[in-house]
Amino acid sequence: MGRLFWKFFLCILLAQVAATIGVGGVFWLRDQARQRATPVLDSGPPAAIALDAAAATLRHGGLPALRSLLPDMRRPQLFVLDASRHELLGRAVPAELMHAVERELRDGAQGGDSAVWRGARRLVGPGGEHYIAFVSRDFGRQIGRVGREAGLQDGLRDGAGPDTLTPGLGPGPGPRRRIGQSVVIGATVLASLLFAALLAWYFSRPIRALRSAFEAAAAGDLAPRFGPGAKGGDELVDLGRDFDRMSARLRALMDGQRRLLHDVSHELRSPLARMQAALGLAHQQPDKIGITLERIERESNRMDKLIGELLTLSRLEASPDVLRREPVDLVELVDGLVADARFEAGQVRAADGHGTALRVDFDADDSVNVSGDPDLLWSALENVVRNAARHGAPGGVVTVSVRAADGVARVEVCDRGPGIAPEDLPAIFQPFFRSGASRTGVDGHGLGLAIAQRVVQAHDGEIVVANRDGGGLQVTITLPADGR
Amino acid sequence: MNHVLLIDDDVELVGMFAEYLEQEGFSVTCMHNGEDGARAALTGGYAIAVLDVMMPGAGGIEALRQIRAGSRMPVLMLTARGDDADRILGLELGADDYVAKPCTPRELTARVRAILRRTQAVPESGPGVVLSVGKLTMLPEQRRATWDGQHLDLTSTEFNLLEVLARNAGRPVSKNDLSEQGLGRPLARFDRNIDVHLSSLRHKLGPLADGRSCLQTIYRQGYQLIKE
Repeated sequence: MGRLFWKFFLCILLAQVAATIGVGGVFWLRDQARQRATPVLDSGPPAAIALDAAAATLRHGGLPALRSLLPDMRRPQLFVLDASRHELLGRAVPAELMHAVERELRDGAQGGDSAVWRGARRLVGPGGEHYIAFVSRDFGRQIGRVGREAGLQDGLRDGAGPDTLTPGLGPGPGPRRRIGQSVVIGATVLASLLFAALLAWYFSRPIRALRSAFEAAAAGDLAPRFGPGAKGGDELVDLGRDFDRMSARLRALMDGQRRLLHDVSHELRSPLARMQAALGLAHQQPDKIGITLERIERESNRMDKLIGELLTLSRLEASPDVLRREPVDLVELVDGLVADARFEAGQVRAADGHGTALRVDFDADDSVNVSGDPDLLWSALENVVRNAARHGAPGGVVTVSVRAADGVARVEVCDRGPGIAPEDLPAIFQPFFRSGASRTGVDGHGLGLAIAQRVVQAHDGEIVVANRDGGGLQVTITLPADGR
Repeated sequence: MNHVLLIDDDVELVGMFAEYLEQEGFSVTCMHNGEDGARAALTGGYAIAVLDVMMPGAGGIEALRQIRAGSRMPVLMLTARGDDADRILGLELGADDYVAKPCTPRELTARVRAILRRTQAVPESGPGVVLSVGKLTMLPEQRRATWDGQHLDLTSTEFNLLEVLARNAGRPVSKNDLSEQGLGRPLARFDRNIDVHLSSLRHKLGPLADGRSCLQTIYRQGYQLIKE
């Protein structure tokens, strides 16, 4: 149980205790007020009937008849006082009741109308003696009710009507009543403790689970912990799910970085291995040092290019938004690239001596302007065009087109090479990915398309690779065209 | 018999290795993918195969599996430096030894020579010598071994290591001695080569009468072939 648990626990407990005291206080005050102004004198129709009966009995049967009537009148209970204010049956009459009787009689005398709904009445006996008769509601049953009253007070918390609470008129709470009260208070406190603990546990449990998840993540364990279960749930469950999503994303990123590092070391090792082999040959055959030096130069150039591409890639991934924005004419840019590609194709033909020359067709609008970083756009498009020239060589023709339409600049590069296996298409933009056909023999590291994709995305554009009908690959780049 | 088969997808590298090895008096054939390499190796015309297990996909490992399925010829693996998983998998599949890439051609040549020397070595104990330890019988001259009358199918490295242990039966042999006498090179740091080969040997040799393996690991000393 952590600190949070105890904070929750104490807060909830405090709130419960405050609420209990508040509600209890309200009822206690009401109880007090009611006791003070108790309408103990019954003035309803049954009381009037009882008083009429008493008057008739006294008139016709005299005092003995009245005396014998009194014990039979249980509900409503009838009291009769003689002239010296003694109850006929010797029952004690509380002072409050006496006051109420006197007040009633006084009011009756002032109002003059003594026949209607009065709780007390002056009676005159056959011998002319004066009596005071009155009816008390419930008086005399108090003692028998004490036990139930505690239960009623308890029931009151459940929302029972206040009418069931009859004010006590007895001579103060008895010992049984006190025991009952303390049992009730104890049970209430216990229940409140229990609920407070339950609530505190309920709130602090998911937070503790989250905390352990954070600790595990800090220690490097990014496995999902909350699971996709518990479909609904409150904000805390949502928080757990969010945490899982976050750690999954982090895991994917870390795996990607690890794979990248592995690939980078592998890719750097290949030129190194060739350099070492070349050095070994140089040691073995010092007379061929020229060829060896050429080889070493070639390998070091490759490594330099690889590292440059890696840096570009990591810069793009670190801050894809920080870009130089200049107006760039895509037609001019691609035209330069196509010229390079044609030149290289011519060189290859000259070197091989074969007749199968690669033809590069270029088809464009007058000018297509976009705004962006010219160097990055150059390298992205260069990678795409070079790819096409390299892999499309067997097809003999590469078609490049640059068009502007509906505020979108579209560059299409199509070749008639072997294309890409459909299952490899989704992976083609991953760094160091090379599809089976191009893994061997072709120079390159598999970074070109990865860089092109990052560049195009940084310019709010889109790059799509698809196999063409009839063989070959089509790369389509769309960029938002410059408004002017 | 010094015809070397080089199997590696790096055409330029293989070309340079071939040139170097040819200068050193070997005849060399190059293959640039696993399938062709395995097919060539199984023709039986080569003394040793040098195989890059890091060829794309499962190319290298698959080629090794195919070679071992049909031949016990010596196989030297080229592995990535620091990549233990490939290395141990290769040794378990029956490669004789490995060289970490990048390596100098001199290193590669030395390793090829060491393997060829011990596989083609004429036993110094003279003809007709029979090593017999318990149920194990070895004929070094014919490079044949039997366990309880059953022929044992051992790679050349496994045979060499078992021979060293058999000659020292009942005594522990340190890993360094095993490496020098069995593999023809000193033990390198973090070298799991011996352990992997010995583990493979344990599977091939049957258990003793009481169910124990006859090859015992002696903590910090090496391995011992139990003499009964």
